[in-house]
Amino acid sequence: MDSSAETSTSSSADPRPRSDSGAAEDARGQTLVPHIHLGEELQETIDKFIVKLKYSQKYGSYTTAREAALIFRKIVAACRWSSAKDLILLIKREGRRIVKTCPAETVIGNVIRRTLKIIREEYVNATQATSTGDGASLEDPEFKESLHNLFVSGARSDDFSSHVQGLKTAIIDAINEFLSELETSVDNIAMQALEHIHSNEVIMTIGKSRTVEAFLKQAARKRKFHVIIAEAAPFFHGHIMARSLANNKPPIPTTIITDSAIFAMMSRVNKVIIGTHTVMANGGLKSVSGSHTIALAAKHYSVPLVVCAAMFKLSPQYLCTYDQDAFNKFVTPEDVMSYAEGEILSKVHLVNPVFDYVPPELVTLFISNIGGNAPSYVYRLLTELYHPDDDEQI
Amino acid sequence: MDQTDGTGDPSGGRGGHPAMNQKNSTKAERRAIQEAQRARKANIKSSGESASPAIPITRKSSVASSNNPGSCSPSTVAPSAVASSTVASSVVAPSSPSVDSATARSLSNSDQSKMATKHQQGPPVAAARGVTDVARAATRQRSFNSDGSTTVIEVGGALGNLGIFSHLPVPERGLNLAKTLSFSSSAIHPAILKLGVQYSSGIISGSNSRCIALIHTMKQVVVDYETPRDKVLCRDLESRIKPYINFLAQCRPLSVSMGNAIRHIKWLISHTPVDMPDTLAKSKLIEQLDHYVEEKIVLAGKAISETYAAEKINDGDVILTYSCSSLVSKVLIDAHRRGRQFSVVVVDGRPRMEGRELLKRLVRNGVKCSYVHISAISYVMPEISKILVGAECLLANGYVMSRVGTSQIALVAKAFNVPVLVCCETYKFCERVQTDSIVHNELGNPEDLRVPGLWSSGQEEEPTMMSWLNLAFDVTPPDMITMVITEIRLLSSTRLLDSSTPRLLDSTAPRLLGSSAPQLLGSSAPRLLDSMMNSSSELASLKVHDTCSPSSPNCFPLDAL
Amino acid sequence: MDKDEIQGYFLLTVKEHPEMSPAVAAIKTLLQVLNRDLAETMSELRKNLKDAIACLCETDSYITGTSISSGCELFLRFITLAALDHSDFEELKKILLQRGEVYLETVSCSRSKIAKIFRPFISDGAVILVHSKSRVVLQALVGAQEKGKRFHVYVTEAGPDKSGVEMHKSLIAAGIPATVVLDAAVGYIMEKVQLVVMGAEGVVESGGIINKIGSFTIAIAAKEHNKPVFVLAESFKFVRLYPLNQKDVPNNFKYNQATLLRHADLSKEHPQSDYTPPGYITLLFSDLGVLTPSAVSDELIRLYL
Repeated sequence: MDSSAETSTSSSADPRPRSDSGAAEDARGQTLVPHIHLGEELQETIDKFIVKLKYSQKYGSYTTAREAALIFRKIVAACRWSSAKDLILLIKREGRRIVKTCPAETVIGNVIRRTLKIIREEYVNATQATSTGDGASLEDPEFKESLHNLFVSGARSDDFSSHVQGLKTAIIDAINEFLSELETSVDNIAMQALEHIHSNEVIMTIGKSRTVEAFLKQAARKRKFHVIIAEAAPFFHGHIMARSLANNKPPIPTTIITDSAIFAMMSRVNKVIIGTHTVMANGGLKSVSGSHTIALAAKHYSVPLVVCAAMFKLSPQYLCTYDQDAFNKFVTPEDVMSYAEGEILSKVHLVNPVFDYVPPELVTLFISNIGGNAPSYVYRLLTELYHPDDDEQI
Repeated sequence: MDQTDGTGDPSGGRGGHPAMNQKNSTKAERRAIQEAQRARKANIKSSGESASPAIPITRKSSVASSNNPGSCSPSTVAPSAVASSTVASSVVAPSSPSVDSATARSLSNSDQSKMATKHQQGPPVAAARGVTDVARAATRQRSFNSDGSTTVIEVGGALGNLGIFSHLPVPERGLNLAKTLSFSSSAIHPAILKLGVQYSSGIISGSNSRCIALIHTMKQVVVDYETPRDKVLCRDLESRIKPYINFLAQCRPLSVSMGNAIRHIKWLISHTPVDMPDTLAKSKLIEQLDHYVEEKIVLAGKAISETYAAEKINDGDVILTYSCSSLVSKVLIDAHRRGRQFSVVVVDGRPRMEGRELLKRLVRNGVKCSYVHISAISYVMPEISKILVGAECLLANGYVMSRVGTSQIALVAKAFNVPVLVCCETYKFCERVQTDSIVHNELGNPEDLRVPGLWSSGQEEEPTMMSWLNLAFDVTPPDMITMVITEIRLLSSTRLLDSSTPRLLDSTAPRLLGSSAPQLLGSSAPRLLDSMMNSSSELASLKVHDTCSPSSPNCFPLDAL
Repeated sequence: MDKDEIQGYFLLTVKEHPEMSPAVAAIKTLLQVLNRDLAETMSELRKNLKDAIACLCETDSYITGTSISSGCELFLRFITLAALDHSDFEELKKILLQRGEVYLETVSCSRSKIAKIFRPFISDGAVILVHSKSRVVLQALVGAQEKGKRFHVYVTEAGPDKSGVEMHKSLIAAGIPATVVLDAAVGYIMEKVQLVVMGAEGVVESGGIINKIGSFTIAIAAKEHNKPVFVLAESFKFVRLYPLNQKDVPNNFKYNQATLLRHADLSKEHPQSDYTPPGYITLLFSDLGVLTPSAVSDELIRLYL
């Protein structure tokens, strides 16, 4: 969770890359959505959420995820839908509306996918419970298109349209479960800290991440270590992080360095532990500006790069081109150069991107709330988390 | 920063003694300084005159405090003069009789007034900027105690903890330096004092500027010098300069460029014929110093810009540069004037933000520029076709020491396959070898890292376990550098170790520089020589040397010397 | 069906459908074998099919063995899996034939599916290096072009049969600006390109690929320049094979059948394909979706376990 991601005062985010035919499908999907009205109150909640996302200064990815999940729970609970199919379309419609306003917030897309997956799962469970028959082939691993399925199953078709008793409560229960998973994710990650930090280590991190903060504080209960923090200018979240760690009980000795001293200091660092905004499908990261540098420096000195990221940050997106415009977010360049420098300002092109792409080969380990994983294993987690049909459409 | 200095930072600056009354503390601390100074003097006396004044004052004072019978404080390790002096004060203050404190005060006053007069000597020579600087320095002097005690926390708290920079001198701002001047030390030339303050406050920074300023000041020193009756210039002047250099080194560690220049100056002085009349010797020295600047810096820069770098900047290039190098700015502006169509991305890093200076220069000259912070480097890198950076010095193992952040640029550039070109005059070559940025570096003032307005007012108190590290330089490994552009030729930094190395390194050795500078360039490219001929009539003799010298680059005519 | 008949049918299929992958042709042939087969028990059928596969593998043509063997292996597995579910032989046969048709149909869509998922990875103004001839790569590029993407393609000549020249012709015909470069010019051209795209004859368990000779060289050059290498391959090209290095790749994957049948001294023959380890491949695009190289072994394990 790089909070830097959230400091978008006047964010002008580029739209997320999307398969061109996707748009056509979207249009088709849209027409299929039955006209289910959300009701005034719900509509308002969603609009408020959108506004908050757009303009709010500090909005952590955890909060975003939680609020999004709450909204979807409300939709499930409050709307009158007749079948799972309707509900899926409804969630997709509303989800798209939210995502469109802030495409850089991948977390929302992830929550939508999780919700859809929950609906599908609960539907299958419910149908299986009622009629123990063909449903078996729909069970989890088979969902994914695989070599195996190409042969075994013929044309599989279940359009989730049949009405099932008790589906609503089942789905709401499942979403509640998801919410509690969100809540505990940071603690669950922090619990693993002692397995990764030994005594007298020198650890480097960049900016501020709630997850990493908890992780280090947990480790500090038993171990002594030193943390070097790159300040992540122009947002300076590193300063906040450093203060928080140093004020911890027991205090963690911290040293703040400029972003330019990352490589110079890396030769004395044992481990780099960073948070991230998103984990991409190939195991790469979309993380605060400067992460790529820190990752390259770590690689240069063969220092392990550990990424703390909860499961809800896993996104089935790939970085399509190496042109980082596509997935980045740009915020006001005021921080880079103050508007006071008018004379020069008018003649200079200023950029203040929020994110960096870190390729998977630079990442040593992911620590998520369910344990440690290699970046090459991320695709596997993704197949468990989301339904393939939902991957690209949001 | 200056503001907090001036006002004495009532809230947090006092570090460990927030409750202490300001007046009392100043008195106590003044006493402390006196105590420390006396102890130091005694120490120097006892250890004889052999004690090298080159040792930074910080060490001496810590020695002093350990000599002091009372100082058994656990924090004596802290290599800060102020640290030990506060220790001394806490010990001395209760025990010492009032007489002692009175003398101390008077001593202190006299010391300060002495300093002040010294500074007042500065302005006549100084430009308007210098005046303000001295004034600022004076304000600082008043408040250095509060400033200093913050430093103590940093040293004890953080660097002590990480413990890998305790070998480097802790930066002292402004007239903390004043304490380093003991009473007995022979008067330091006002121009040198001024220069020292300018160095330490960052008014003069950058390898080339510092070197030029040094030589300029040395010229003044030479002008004002008069040989005492029973001495000879070639011995006395050299010994006169020594404390000056030490003083400058205390203000800010000497750069390699300055080190090389100083060696050259010393060589020049010691090779002045004993029987030469003063006036003649002085004018000759001044001429030679001018010559050094002209040839080693101005012409070298010109040769780099016009002969080599010009070839490497093509139409359509997007050139990235980092921080502010006078040489790089010259290269870019020259190329622009020559009509090359290219744009420049200026990358900058905190806390110095020197890139803005470069940006201003480029924009004023009409170069198309972008400006980003160093953390966004990997966002801009795919667009970049070349990277051009300056250097602080080129080490003998091919590593390039430069403004901190340069190595990072090179690292990211390597990941994106962008060639990295380093512009470096040969006078910045250095015999030292180094493989990381920690063994030998310079610490900047950690205060500079603070971001004003980041904390709401209630949060000003800083946790003791939090510290700041402000590195000045880093080293870039040769495998990340595609090319080093010198005025002699283009070099691959990995190939510095081949047969050409000793020659290039020798070329910076003072013994060669002194005799006949043009010979240095003896075997180098005629193009360069031509460009130099045009601009410098002093080098008229050059052609003769050139034709004499063998054409093989490995055969250096000066080997015979 | 006897040997000549099988080979004849296979070659005819390949000839009639030049856009068809040899693996699909092989599967089609096997379905034909299955259809006409007179066996009455499972084991007999299996034996007959194995014989047929052996015949196919000996087909004397320019087609390399990799894709044929991957297709055949998949087909056998397909039979085995079906046999687990259905005990009645006649019914089984019927189901097999029916599923086979469905499968062939699915497979025929796989290229367009790959083209679709690959499309966002081509940015406007991209410069792409393509190795040799690959139908799926061609379709992906043409598809992107039709969707309005503008890009330039460098095609390696791909000796010894200069299949790259053929590829170049097809690209030009589709209106895509393309240039043929010598195989030896890969190092030179790499600086200019943004991404490398190649097909594969086979995708092995490690996630690496076996492809036209020169692929490995290109992948190495790309790695040195930190350029992404994308492999486009249909899922029927997944082979159960885990080569350690070039030498470990079976001979029938590396040499022409003709060469092997001649019992020529292989040390004097030039291999037709090489093995590119997974470390050099950025992503694999198949009809199963975008896969990281490590996902390939997962897929294979799921099928064969």
